[in-house]
Amino acid sequence: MINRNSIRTFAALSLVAIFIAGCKSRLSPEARDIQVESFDAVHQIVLETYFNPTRLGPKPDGIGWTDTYKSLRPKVEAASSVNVARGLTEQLIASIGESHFGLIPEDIGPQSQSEKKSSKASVETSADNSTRKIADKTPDKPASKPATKSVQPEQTLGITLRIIAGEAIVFRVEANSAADKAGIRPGDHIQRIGRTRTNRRINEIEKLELPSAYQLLYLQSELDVDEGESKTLLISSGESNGRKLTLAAAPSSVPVSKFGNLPPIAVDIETRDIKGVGYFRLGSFFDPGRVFGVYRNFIVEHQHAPGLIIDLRGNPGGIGAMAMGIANQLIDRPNLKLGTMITRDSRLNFVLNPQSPRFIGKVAVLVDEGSASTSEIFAAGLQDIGRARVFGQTTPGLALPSIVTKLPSGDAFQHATADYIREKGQRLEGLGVIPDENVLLDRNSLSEERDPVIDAAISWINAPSLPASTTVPATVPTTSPATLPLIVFPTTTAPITR
Amino acid sequence: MKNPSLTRLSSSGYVFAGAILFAATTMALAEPASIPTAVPPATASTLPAVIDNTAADKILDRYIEVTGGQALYDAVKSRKIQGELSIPAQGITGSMTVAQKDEKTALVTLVIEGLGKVIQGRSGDTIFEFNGISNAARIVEGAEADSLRRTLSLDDQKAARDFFVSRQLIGREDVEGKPADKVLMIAADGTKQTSFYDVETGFAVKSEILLTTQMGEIAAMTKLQDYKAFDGILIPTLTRQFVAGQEIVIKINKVETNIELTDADVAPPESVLPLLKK
Repeated sequence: MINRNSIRTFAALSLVAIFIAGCKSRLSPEARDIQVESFDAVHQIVLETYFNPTRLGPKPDGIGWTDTYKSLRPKVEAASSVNVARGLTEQLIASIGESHFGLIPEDIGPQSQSEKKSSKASVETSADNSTRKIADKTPDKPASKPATKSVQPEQTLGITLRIIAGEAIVFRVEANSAADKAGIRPGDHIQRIGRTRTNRRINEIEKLELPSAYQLLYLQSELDVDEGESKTLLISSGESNGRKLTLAAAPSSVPVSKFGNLPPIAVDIETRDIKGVGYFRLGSFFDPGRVFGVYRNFIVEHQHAPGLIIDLRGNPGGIGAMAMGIANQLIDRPNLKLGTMITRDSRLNFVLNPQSPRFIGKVAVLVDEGSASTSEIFAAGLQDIGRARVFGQTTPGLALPSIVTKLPSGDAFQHATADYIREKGQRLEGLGVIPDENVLLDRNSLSEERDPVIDAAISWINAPSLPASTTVPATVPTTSPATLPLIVFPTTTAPITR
Repeated sequence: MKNPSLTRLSSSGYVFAGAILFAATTMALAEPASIPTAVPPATASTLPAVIDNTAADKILDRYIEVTGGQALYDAVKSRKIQGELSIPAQGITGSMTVAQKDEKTALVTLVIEGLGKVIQGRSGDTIFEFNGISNAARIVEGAEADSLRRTLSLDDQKAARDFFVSRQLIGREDVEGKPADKVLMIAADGTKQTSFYDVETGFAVKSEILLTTQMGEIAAMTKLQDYKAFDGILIPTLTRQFVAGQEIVIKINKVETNIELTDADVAPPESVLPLLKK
């Protein structure tokens, strides 16, 4: 399952207006001072930690990081609400134009319908022109309410969506979820979610010109639910059109992990055997103890399999070192690395250390538009050293190592502190990983309980002659975050993840 | 002059622990997997033509004197240290335990919330590491291992002085608003460390070093504060390490000297055992 918190944070980080919408409080003088202090802190943190200080200088328009800071600061000092102050801070952050920069509001979390309604009103009445402009481009989105402090399971309907041919298609259904019990299956077309027509929604989202990863997450967030909430879906499956189902939120069975200032994150792991091939799916790179425990057993059980599939589709990233941890059991010689992280004053290699037990047969890595950050580092690294063949769709190229720092306001500031260079020498940021075999999902296959990407991987594994990654992927950029309108690209190592 | 073992806590021991935390947590951001150590590479050419350690050694000797005296340090035959680690700005917390059973048997265990364990230790002349975040057990080798042998030694100050053949007093700078003597130490292989000693108290208050991990080198500045006595020896219980724009805080809560440590206290993790048998 896609992690709801991830989606929420990811989406939230992407569009300033969401947060502008989510908060309604007016600023007291003390609260305004704290917002100014936070604004100043963001400016200073970037000055001190951004990996390439020269990029903070004047851009082609003659305006640099500190110029933007100086121009916005008086507006923060005069901000009438937390919403406006946050919006201005986001605007400053956005001026960097790279992924892994964003503001995670302290109060990020699920939101009730009534709050959503008032959120929209808040956007509409925003007095600040700059944020208004952003808000005008933003489809109405769920925003926030106070975060849950304890690590509770996500509330979910159990559906993971993909956009296929402009339609919202069910990609996965969580076992024993409301969707599963209602008979929803992969390949089903979700025509409406509540009153929202998904096709129209997809059109709106596409107009934002965001990377496909964000588009997908916005759509997915339509299925967000709070405890006690239900949603009515209009579904067509096969020849059955217009089936209306009301699904009630229920706790997800996917365990949740908590790390540092990040909100709780679901870590979904699936292992199985597909026609003799070992299949390992990882939903996010967190909770290393549990993940590596399962992974080691998986390796032991499939040591003699003809091949392994590592499925990172929809995995937004997470703890960077875990990419090495997965790779360590797929190699049998030292002196290999996945790539290099470049900070302001150091170059750190993602060195691999061969571990036992290990698997030395064929490895297929599955990626898509939702595979970001650590997922990209892993896929690109194994592709570059010829250890794996990558299947699926081009990844979003959101791959800057970052940290999440608490601001005086209580909001968290995610900021990239390093660039990441592939073993073959290219940046990952803005370029992504181009699969060795580009394979698209299609609705008919999903309806027939087939996954074309998995099928392609198995075909390759069972074909005796084809090596792993023989073709070095071209460095054709996908959408460059720097050119995107709304800037702030989330994540820690994970766009989706924060 | 022989150097006391516990003074390690004022410098390399803290650097070591802080570096581990740095490595562990920055990984959360797509970073290093290994435990950094203080082994900057360089060339012997950085050694001065004429080595005169007299002035610097007076400062190092004074440090030993003001923190307890040589006799107390010489009496330390085993040690256990317990503390906390954090990166406050990131909300990351953890615990640290250092167990030193004898000169060649030691174990450092970090447990970081949400990440798990990072363990590093010494068994005889072998240095080992298990990193639960990057799923890697390994034998540490080369210059990285040499550095860890010094750091994990009960008498690591002596080891450090043996290693840093040149020790020069190179000036005076303010640290936290107070004047401090600046001592540059250089090893035969060019490795450098700069330490600052408060002029008034004689305490070590700051160090600058280039940390070397399996993944590469990272510059670190460490501030040493809040000296407290344990079994008569004063050690800094608060260390603030600044690495790659992050502040890593290490607080020492408890130090026990000459306690009976069992083999279990310093047992290498299971994943390392097959490597030690090779």
